[in-house]
Parts: sequence; structure tokens; C-alpha cells
Amino acid sequence: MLEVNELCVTYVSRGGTNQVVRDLSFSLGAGEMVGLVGESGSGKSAAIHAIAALPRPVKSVITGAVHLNGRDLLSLPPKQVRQIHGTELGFVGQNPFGCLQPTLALHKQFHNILKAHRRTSSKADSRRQAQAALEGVGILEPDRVLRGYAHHLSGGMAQRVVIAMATALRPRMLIADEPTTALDPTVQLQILDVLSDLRDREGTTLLIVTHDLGVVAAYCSRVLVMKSGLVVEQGDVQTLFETPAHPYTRELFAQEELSAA
Amino acid sequence: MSAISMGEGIGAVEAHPPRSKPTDYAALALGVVPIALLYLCGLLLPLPYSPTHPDVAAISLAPSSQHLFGTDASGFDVFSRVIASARVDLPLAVGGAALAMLIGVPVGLVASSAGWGANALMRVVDAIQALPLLIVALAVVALAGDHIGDVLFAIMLVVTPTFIRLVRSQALVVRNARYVEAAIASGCRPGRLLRVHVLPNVSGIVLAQFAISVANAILVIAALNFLGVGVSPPTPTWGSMIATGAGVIDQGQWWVALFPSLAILLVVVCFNVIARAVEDLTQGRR
Repeated sequence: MLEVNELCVTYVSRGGTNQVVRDLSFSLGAGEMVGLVGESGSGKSAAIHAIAALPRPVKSVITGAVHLNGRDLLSLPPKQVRQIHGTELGFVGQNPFGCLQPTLALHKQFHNILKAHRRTSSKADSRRQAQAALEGVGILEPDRVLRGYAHHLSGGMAQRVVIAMATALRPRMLIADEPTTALDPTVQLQILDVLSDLRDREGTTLLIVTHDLGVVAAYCSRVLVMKSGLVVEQGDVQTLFETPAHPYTRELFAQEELSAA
Repeated sequence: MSAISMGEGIGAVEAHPPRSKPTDYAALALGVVPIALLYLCGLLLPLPYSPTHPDVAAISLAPSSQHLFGTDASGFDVFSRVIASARVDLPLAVGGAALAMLIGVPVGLVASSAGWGANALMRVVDAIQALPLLIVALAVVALAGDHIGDVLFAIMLVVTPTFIRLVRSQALVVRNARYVEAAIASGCRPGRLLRVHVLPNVSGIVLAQFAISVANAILVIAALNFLGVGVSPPTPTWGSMIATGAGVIDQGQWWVALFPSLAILLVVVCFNVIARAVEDLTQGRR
């Protein structure tokens, strides 16, 4: 499904260069749900933005290869990357409110996404598809939500809408950057259920970035632990949680237990 | 972090609906009403005296009940000419600022993209702004003749660079927003991205800048007319009236220059009030 090979991301500034992701390699099989964990500044965000071929405000040099369904995202021309964005690869960004355009009614935002890939015949058609997408993420009154704007939503609703938008074109691969961080604990679980439902129903492959190990333990099958731009350990959740090999992983778990207590 | 404080944090995000604070609307009205009155009076009401035909029997009269603002050395009624000037100066200023906005906004949006082209564009804007633009505008109008088109061009020259700079800097901020990232991640084309996602989120500040630019344009027109370019004589404008009045202040005839100056002051202050109100009104949406 997704194969990342020796991915390096280097931020370039006037003061010099800073390698924030070093030789990242991993692969995801279809239908897997994998967690990418690490503390702030460990390079998680830089890594997934590079993998999703999304621009960052910082000037950066990216080397390596990211094969999605056999095509290297990093060497494709921009036009083909645009065709893949949304249709084969979905992206859920940090902070659900930030991900919704504040000046456009939500049904228009869905229409824009569908129109960009010529998957709609009319506004009414877009509305039907948007309703289906919202029902898919457990929104009970999709019509009312679609008429409104981002600021009408609660945090959990906004995140559901963001997920529905990212998956409106049924991408087989979904990358989520801290999808639960801005939400309160009960809503966090609901959102994670939405994501795992999506995987069960559609077979979507999920890569979830988080610093919440509880999320990983409960929902993911495999986990990658990142520190200072390097993946220090990876493996399936059970073995890694029972016998963490790397001292950093053990430290991370110790902190988690401390904050849980 | 306790559950309560988290709840508050989420509440704070929810409570950012479009504010429609009555005081902001009152401030907007405070700016719009005087300008509208001034313009509509000039357009609709009959003036007490002709603004273009002097009365040779009433030369250099001080303000009185007959001539509210007095008369000048040629026998023009100052009140009639101050009101009539609004008909000339205001549309010119609004038109000039609108043209500057129509050019400045798209250029500013494009200049916010990454790459050497956008950088080169901004260096050109730097170079243009390094010139004393009012002097350049004056030279252009003086050389090209006294057509309205030349005055519009002068206003554009002075005002457009500010639009480009402002829109670019705001667009750079908006481009980092998560919804722009989300739009890119759903396959949005760059041109559409600017039009649908970036432009609506800089529009509030652009409207505020438009009002400030009109105030600026009023001053540019007045400066040109004061120096005797951009108008043909009998047409009344505030700038040319101040020029006439400036010559006779030392003879004690303060009224000829004072009243058009007050008109300019009123209009400029009002447009600044409008700009402030527009900024306050649109901020809640961003």
C-alpha cells in the first residue's frame, strides 16, 4: 500500500540546515492501522507532511521515496500529485477548526472537493454525497450541519466533518496528524471509533500520528517510535508494549504511566 | 490540565461566530453618514449660488447669512463651491482607490506564492515605493495633461503598492492555515486555492485598506489640484480652492482656505473611521 524508503527531510534556513527526519523507512499493508509516536519536535509532523507531499512553510529538502500504490509521490509532477490528493490519499490535519474554511458553508466545501476531481454532476449531487459521507462518520443530522459554517460545530463534530471531507472521495490511505489532541477525552474515543470503523468498513489504511500511547495501544496494530528525526523502534503493539527494547521507548512509557496515575 | 479548563478552551473556539456588535455598526454609520450627506447635497439640492459663475458684485466678502462661508476674490461663493467639490473629488477618489484595489489584490495574492517570480515581483514593488510617488504622479499628470484618467493613474500609482504589500502579508499568514493545507490535501489547484480559500479570508482587511486608500486618494487629488494640475479652472475642487485661499490669508481673508480644508479634514477622518469600523466588524469572521 504505502512504502517509505530512506526518507530524509532537511529544513533549510539562512542560519544553516537542520535534518528533522533521518532515513525513515517503513511500509504499510492494506487495512493496517499504524501509530507514529514521539514527543513534540521529534519530526513526526515533518515526516507525514513529506509522505503526504504537502508543502510546509519552512523551506525544506526532501530525499528518498514514498511509494503509494506503486507510484513515487516525491517524483511525480505536481498535477498528478493533485490528482492523487483526496482520491488515493486523504489527510486529516491538526486542530479540526483550523481545517475548515471559516467563510464557506460546509456543503460548498464538500462541493469544491468533489468538483476538483470531477466526481459530481451538480450541487444537489454533491449534497447527496456529502450527506452520505457525514452519515459515515456518525453525524445524525447531516442536512443541518451542511447548511452551517465551521463555527457552528462543536470540537467533536468539527473533527467528524474534517474526517468526512478527507474521505469523501474514498481514499484507500488516510494520514491523520494528531486527530484527537485538541479534543476532550470522551470525544477522543468517539473519533478513534470513527477512524477504526472506517478501516473495518472500507478497508482504509490508517497512519495516525499521536503522542498519546493509550490511543496506540487500544487501536493500532503496529507502532513506530520516533525521536530526533529517527525511528528508534518499530514493531507490533503487543510486543513493543510488553518488551520495549529501546531506552527511549521505555522512558516514553514511564512518562505515560506517570501522567495516567 | 483539568477537565473544566479543557471545556473552556473548546468553548472559546466555538464562541467565535460572526460578531455583529451594535457599536461597530454605529461607528460605521458615523463615518458613512457625513460623507453621504456631503455628496448627496452636492448632487441633489440646489446650491445657493452657482459654483462656476462668479458674482462680480460680491467680492471677498466675510462669512454672513447671505454667504455662509463668504466669497473669494473672484466673487465665487465659498459654501457652494465646497459642496460642489464633493461631486468632483469623492467619485474620483473612490474610483482611483477601487482601481488600485482591483490591481493590488490579485497581484498581492500571486506575490504570496513561493518561488523566485514572486520574490522578483516584490523587489519591483520595493523599487517603485522607493520613488517619491506623489512627485512622480505630479510629473505624470502635468506632462500628460489635465484629464481625469491621468488623475486616476496618479492615485493608482500612489495607492497600489500598499495594497500589494498588505494582501501579500495577509495571504502569507492565511496560507499557513490548516484549511489551506486541507484544501491542498484534497487536490485543490493553486489558482483556485487563492480565489476560494485565501481571498475570502483576507477580504476584511482589504475593505478596511480600501477606506484608508480613499482618504489617501482625497489627499493626492487635493495636492495635485493645489499645485494647479489635474483640473480645468472653473470646476471647483478642494485643493484648488485652498490654493486660491492661501494667497489671501495674509490679507485677513481666512475663510477662503479654511472651509475647503475643513471639508478635506472631515472626509479623511470619516474614511478612517469607516476603515476602523470595517476592520472591527470583519475580524470576528477570521
